[in-house]
Amino acid sequence: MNETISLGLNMTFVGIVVVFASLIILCIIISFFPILNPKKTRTSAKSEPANISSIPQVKDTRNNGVPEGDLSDDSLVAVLTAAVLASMRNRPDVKIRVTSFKRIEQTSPVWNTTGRKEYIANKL
Amino acid sequence: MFTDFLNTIKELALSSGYAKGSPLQFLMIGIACFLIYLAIVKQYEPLLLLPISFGVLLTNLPFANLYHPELFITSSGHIDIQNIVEHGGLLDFLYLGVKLGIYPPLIFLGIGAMTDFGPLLANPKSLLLGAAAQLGIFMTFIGALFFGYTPQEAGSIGIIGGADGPTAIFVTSKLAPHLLGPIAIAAYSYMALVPLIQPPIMKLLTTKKERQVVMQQLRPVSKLEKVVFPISVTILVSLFLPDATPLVGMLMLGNLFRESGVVERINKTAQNELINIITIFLGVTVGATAKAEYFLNTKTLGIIALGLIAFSFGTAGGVIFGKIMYYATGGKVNPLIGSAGVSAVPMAARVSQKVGQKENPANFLLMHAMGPNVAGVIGSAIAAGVLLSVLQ
Repeated sequence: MNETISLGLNMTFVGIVVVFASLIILCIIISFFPILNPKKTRTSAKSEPANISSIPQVKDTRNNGVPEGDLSDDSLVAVLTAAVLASMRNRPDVKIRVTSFKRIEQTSPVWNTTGRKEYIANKL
Repeated sequence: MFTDFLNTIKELALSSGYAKGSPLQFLMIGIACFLIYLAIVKQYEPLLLLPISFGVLLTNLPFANLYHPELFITSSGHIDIQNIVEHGGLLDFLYLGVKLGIYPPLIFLGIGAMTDFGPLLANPKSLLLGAAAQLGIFMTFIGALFFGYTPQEAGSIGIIGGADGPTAIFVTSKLAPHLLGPIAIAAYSYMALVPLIQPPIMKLLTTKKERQVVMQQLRPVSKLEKVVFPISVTILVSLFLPDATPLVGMLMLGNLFRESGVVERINKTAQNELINIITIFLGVTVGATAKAEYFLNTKTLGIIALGLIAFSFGTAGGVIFGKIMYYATGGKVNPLIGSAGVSAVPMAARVSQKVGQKENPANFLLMHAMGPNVAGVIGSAIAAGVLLSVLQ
């Protein structure tokens, strides 16, 4: 019985130590991987604030891609901003700034779109 | 004339499988049909459970003589290839791929070609979650020893906790080949049941606040990083643990095919045709080892019970370490991603996503959970290497 306990504990200890040691070393090595990236990418990534990726940048291509000088429909921008913030549940870490907007044609019936979304959500 | 006809029919009937088959064989045929039902109707890991269950059916058909376990059990402990060629059946020849440890590494090659290690590279700390989730393997090893299994059998049962079918088959074929059938069936059945087994454990070990944590977006990973990764892992792990090389080496070779982008044809073959062919061979032959006389005993019941314990401990280990990371990072890590450390790619990651989104519909944990998930594959291969190097 004592031998069984000793073997079991020994194996468990050795196994956990080896698995953790291997993966910790791997973790350390991987954490240096960003050095491999070209310098330009690293500096540009550093200069950007952490939450910049969460700011949607939509190009205004109305009038055949010619940007409008003035943003005439301020109220629409406000509505869009509010809608995005509401869907993000007003998370403090997400900052939204709508710089432009563009109407996208509805190519499929709204029920089809909803059905597809539900299907994808069920598959997750 | 009529009497002769009746006698012939009678002799035919008496020599048929219906008359000569043992009750145990018919029971196994019933079990095989149940497993086929689970694979087709319930869709429990059908890609493997279907060939495995059909293998169980074939091997238990009386007088079909497709598989002869006695050919692989020799006094010297070595396989007598000549004897197998002379006396073997179809499944004996195919089983050589399992016995010689060929199929599981080839499956790993395909898995490597299908796996994106990007989430792991973006968040290397998730490797630790993949390590913590291997706790189930070693806890079950101790449990199995207490229940009277030999150390080799206990190691094979424990590896079920790695939630990685090919790894479980690879280790068992080396340490306890007589348990291959029940262990493979237990491993794949529990992998299919991950969505039922894990959520209660995840909820039990975490608070609502912890489950609601929204994790920061992962950084983009360059192609160069993805190419260097498989090469580094192969060198590092294989030098440290040579017994893990067949699994880790092939996994990383498959991944290098994928990420290098220069061998698209080979990459496509590895993740489609090759893995599919090997899956058929592996599934049918592993199922064939579940002959009535080897499968229907108390050891199988013990394996099924211990397999569940292994999965539960693995999940708990990952979630507990996730909690540690939650506190260590000041609440930036959602502990739910820890449960994905038990391989079972991508099912376990999907479970983390689903449980997390139930608590906070705006939460998307899938990519964060893929990190520990693929780390679990590497972790279980390393754990397998430890078991093989100590127990073989």
